[in-house]
Amino acid sequence: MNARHPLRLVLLIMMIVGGLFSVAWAETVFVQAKTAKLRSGKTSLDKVVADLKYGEPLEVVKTEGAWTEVRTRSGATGWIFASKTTTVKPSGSGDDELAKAGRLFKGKEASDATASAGARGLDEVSGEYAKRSGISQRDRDMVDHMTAYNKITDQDVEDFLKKGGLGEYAK
Amino acid sequence: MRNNRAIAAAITFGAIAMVAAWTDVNLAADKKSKDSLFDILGGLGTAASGFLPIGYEEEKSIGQAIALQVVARSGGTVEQPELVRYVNLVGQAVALTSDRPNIPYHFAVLKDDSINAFAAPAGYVFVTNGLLKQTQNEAELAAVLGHEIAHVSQKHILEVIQRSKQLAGVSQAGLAAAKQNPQAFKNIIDTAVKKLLDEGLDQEKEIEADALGDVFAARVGYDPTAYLALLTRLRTLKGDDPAFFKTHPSFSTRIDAVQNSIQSHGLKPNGVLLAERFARRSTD
Repeated sequence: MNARHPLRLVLLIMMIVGGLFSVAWAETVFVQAKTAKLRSGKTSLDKVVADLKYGEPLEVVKTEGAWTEVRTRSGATGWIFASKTTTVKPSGSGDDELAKAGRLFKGKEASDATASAGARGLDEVSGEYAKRSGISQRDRDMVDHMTAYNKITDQDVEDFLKKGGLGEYAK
Repeated sequence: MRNNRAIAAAITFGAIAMVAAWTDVNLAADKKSKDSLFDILGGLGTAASGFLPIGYEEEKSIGQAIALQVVARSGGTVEQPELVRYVNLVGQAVALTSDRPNIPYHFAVLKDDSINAFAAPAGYVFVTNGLLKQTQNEAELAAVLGHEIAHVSQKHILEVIQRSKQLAGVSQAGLAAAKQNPQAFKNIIDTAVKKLLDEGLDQEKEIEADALGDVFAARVGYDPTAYLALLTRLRTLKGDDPAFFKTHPSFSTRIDAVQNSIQSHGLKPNGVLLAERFARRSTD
């Protein structure tokens, strides 16, 4: 074995390590908002490349100021407002998971729950509670209206943020 | 030669360590999602002993029942369409970037001149007229609503319900049980309402809600120090008498905790206050 052989081995290992290094430090973040916009640049005026959903994983390319350049799983690249990301995968989908677990276990109750899911206002159980507790019709109507209040869309919230110069619309 | 081998060994070891570190990073990222699976498995385990985890449909019934009591005790809700829309817009903005943005939230103003705010499970959030009168800008309102949203996102009140179930000796208070035995459901809700409205949640839950709520508001772009200004104003107004806020820690304790949270979370005081928009209670 000549003296150059181990040196080649070292170089080879360094190349492997280099490859691993790039994979190892490709940081992943997740969308920490019900929805978020992926933009072509790092201002709210830049074109929307994609609409992102809660919990969606994103590979970080780089961060500059309040914006992070990311790559989506489908390969789209763009900028997201950094406050809408988190390094820890959100567990909010647990709501659905727990409900599913409940359905699996509870059989008939599951179909009742599913049927009431689309109902507006007070459901049957809370309606019965109101009756038994002597809650007035006026108070029932108020909670009913509060529950059914659906005059605000995600776009309304976006417009509200824009007018207030909030988040990615900061001046 | 021996040195070369040592270098090679060191680099190989380094590579292995790096792979291990990378695995750790990814495991950490996935931990929360796996936690929810463990939650389910844990839940199924407890189901065997009679306690199922509370699913969203059941949470909704519980939230509505508690909301009914909050409204009944507070003299009803304010019905000014512009104000209702404004409070809902601020609340939705905070909720959409909270730690639980994927459920509907409902916000209302109570016809009550006392200074308070409440949350019930499944996203029911109330703020009193009295608290709104002491609030000077939108950032302060956002932090107040953030505090209540944190109670929902952390499921603080559902923990009380679970304890009420156990105290009531009810093995299962799911929807089916509530329909079959509405009196047992009522007893559980009444116990939880007493705890929530009369005795208050555990102090550490309130401190956690303060810290998290301010983080939620800051994520939207509101100034996180606005909440400190509100708490300080309320302390000047009401003092630190625990009898006044028997359901919450003293203002001084809360102010210290929020200050620490702002520092530890690295929240910068460069957000907006929006005092004028708040004064107009306008959506423009």
